[in-house]
Amino acid sequence: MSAPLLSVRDLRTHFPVRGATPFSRKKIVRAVDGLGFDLQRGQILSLVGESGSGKTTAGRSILRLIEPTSGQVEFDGTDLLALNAAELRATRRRMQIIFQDPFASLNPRMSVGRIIAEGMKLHGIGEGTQDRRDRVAALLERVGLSREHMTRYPHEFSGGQRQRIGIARALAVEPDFILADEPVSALDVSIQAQVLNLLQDLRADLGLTMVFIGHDLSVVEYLSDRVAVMYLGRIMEIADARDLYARPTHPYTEALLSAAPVPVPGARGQRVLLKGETPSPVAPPSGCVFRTRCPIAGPDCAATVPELREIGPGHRVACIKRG
Amino acid sequence: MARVLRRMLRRPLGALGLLIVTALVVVAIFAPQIAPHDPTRPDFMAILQPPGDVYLLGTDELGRDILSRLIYGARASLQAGLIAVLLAAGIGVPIGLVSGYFRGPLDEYVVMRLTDAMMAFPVIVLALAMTAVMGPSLYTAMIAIGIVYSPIFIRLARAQTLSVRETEYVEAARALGNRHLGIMVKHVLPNIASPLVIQMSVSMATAILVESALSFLGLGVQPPTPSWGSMLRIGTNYMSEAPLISFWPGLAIFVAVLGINLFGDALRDVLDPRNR
Repeated sequence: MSAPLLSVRDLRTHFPVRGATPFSRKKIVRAVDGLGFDLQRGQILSLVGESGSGKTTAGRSILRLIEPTSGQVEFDGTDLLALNAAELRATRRRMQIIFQDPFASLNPRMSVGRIIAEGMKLHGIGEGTQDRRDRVAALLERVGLSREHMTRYPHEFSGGQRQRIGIARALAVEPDFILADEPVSALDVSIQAQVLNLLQDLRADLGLTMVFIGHDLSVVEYLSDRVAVMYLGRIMEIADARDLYARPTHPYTEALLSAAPVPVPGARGQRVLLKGETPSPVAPPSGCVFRTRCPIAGPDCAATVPELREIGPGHRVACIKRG
Repeated sequence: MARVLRRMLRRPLGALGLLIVTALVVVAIFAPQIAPHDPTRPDFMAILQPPGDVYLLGTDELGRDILSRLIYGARASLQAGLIAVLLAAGIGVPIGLVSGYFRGPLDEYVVMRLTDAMMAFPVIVLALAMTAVMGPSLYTAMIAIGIVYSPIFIRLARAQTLSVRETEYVEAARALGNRHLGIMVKHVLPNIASPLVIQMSVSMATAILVESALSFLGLGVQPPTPSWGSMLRIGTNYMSEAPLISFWPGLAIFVAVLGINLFGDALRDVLDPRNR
């Protein structure tokens, strides 16, 4: 296998939180705590998990939109965390992001044309204004809008259309890698499929490599090559999508999959119900962070932090009881 | 620009504001052509005259034509309002924007506490102290008002920036590879502009009042040059015999303040793409 386009090693992003009084001890939220994966060129990796599992922070940290505390992010051979501000800005052309909320992610004071052309201007793509305008028109058509939309403003569009504009903005700088942060979860179900199909097409046509952050497992299954299940800032299980859905091994993965709706009532197997809520990332449980809610946890789970172990080709699980 | 004006004229209140502001500016610029008399030439044969044929709005205690003095007075008042506010916004908005964008201890402990200290003083008292130090004239009054008003703009720009900097479109701008300056100018500033425009129009109106007050106290425009504030002050001495002497400059201030506020409101609405 060739060298991965994106390689993340032991990434940690911790936030200090202020105590109740200025004198109380400073606490630390471990939003991302030892994340690691490789992503091959042209593949889509999905990060899934409940809210609070750190998937969004993980995505932002990979792009250095949030500064990670420690770890390594290697993008096409360069260590992103070692870049200075100017180098990082230049590298941003190659990695883009699509946001969750299409109503918040477009500057309301900029016309659609300017929004999409901004990145081109910054990175010197296109020769002159006219050429850039043509490129913007082509991008608009590529994402299913039209040239006339260029002079309009974001508030004139529906959620789905805005998300297409956001996608066009990301594509405008011809990136190799796109981080899609729950790009459809704010949209109507009827619109979701259209946007997902668009992403699928773009990926096929442009050979995009993507990290897709999501919590809807049916959406993830449709789109991804690899799936990583996150819990409290760590990966619990990572595998090829088909493999993960066919053979979920980690008890948390089982629980997540059994909670997903199925098309045929009664077709669902045994439901694995989780008790309680996600523990606070300020004070994660010792040993395996999932043990407080795990149906098969034993006393030894509190003692050791489980490593991700290979249990099959490309299938790795962090559980000492399974695999 | 033409489009902005056209859209403004479509709003009745905006049109009225625009009309008042334009009229004031025209009057101020063409004061020598419009004024029927010399505003500083006394006519001792006609002191404290009521409105009449020769002196349309009457005369003051030295027999000077009130209408002409009002017309010339528009110059001092409008200049004071405009320049003071431009100065205040020119100082305040960049400081507030940068301070709110970067946060940090400099923002929290230096910029904010200094503005707190400045805002703790009543505007007039501070402006009074400054003009007293710099010597009384229209220009020191304008500078003093501008500086005294700048904390309002620092505060407002900072508060707005704090909310805008957390939006996803600012994050998107960073992800595209913008510099901080580019983000501030292209993405933050346009989105904090609405309240700033309103604040400018409100401040311009109150700056005219403060200039009037300073002139009233003898710290602004120096006699015999007319300003609405100094006319108002003199008029109070003759309140019982000739109340109209202070009524006219008071009315002028009222109309100017109203017009500028209407103009500011309409400008804010028109500049927002969502209102197209």
